[in-house]
Amino acid sequence: MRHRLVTYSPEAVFGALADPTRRAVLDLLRRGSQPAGQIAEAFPVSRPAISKHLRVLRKAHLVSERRNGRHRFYHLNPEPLKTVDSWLEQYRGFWQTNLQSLKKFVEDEYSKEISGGRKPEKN
Amino acid sequence: MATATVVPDQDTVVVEIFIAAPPERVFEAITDPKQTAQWWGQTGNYRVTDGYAEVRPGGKWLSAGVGADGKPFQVQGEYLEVDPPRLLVHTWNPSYDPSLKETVVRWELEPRGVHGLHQTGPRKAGTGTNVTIRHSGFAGNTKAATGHGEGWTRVLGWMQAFVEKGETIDTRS
Repeated sequence: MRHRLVTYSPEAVFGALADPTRRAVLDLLRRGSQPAGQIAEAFPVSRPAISKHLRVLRKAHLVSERRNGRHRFYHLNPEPLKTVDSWLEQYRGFWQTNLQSLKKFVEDEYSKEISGGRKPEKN
Repeated sequence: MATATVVPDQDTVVVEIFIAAPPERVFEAITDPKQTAQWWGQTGNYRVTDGYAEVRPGGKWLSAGVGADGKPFQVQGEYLEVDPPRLLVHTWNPSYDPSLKETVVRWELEPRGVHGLHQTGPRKAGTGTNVTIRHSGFAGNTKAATGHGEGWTRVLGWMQAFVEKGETIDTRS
């Protein structure tokens, strides 16, 4: 899935979401964009640590940065989350299809085995 | 008919199906590479052609096949838990999607008695199987688990609502 020149990678998004502080930053930004300083104040971690987290979130395109005079504001970008959702949807479909094939195979084989007494070839 | 839901408290895909055969028979079909090759994949899409399986904790497994484009692929991993016929847990590493590296697939096979299960033969109660697959670890962090459980509950909960609404309270740029 592409947006302008950017590809949203589920791996980068999951990696960004894997950290609890980053999840909390996203939760904060969900309520509205914030300047960098205010984000740092909301957490019991150092300013450089928050900057590092914001960098990871920016790389995953989960947040974007805007300058307003001397301030940098961060806001949440929903597009990568949609990518992840549709990516997971793909995997639901994948397993549904395979389970349906498994069902058909086992039911066909089993009914032959119990009526004809034929045993499956085992490796 | 298989039903699929995203469990909101984990990065997990959950899919279920009922199979009219006992758990032992289902367990065989999912661990014997000769049988796996017969149901995995679809004609015209991709097909598994070969594989091996050391069905014990720490044992390795592999399935090799051919994609719709004619290109070969492999999926392989290690068995983490083996408790026939009710439980099989293994890692999942597909050659075609490295972002899934070391995700975990959990097969739960639960017996379910059904009357008149067999169309032919004597009409007595038979045993079927409820099969549940849980595929997890997409965040790549199943081992690290830094505040994994609780945090994910909140994130995936609001993530879905967020995705449905499409934007934040804040204005678009």
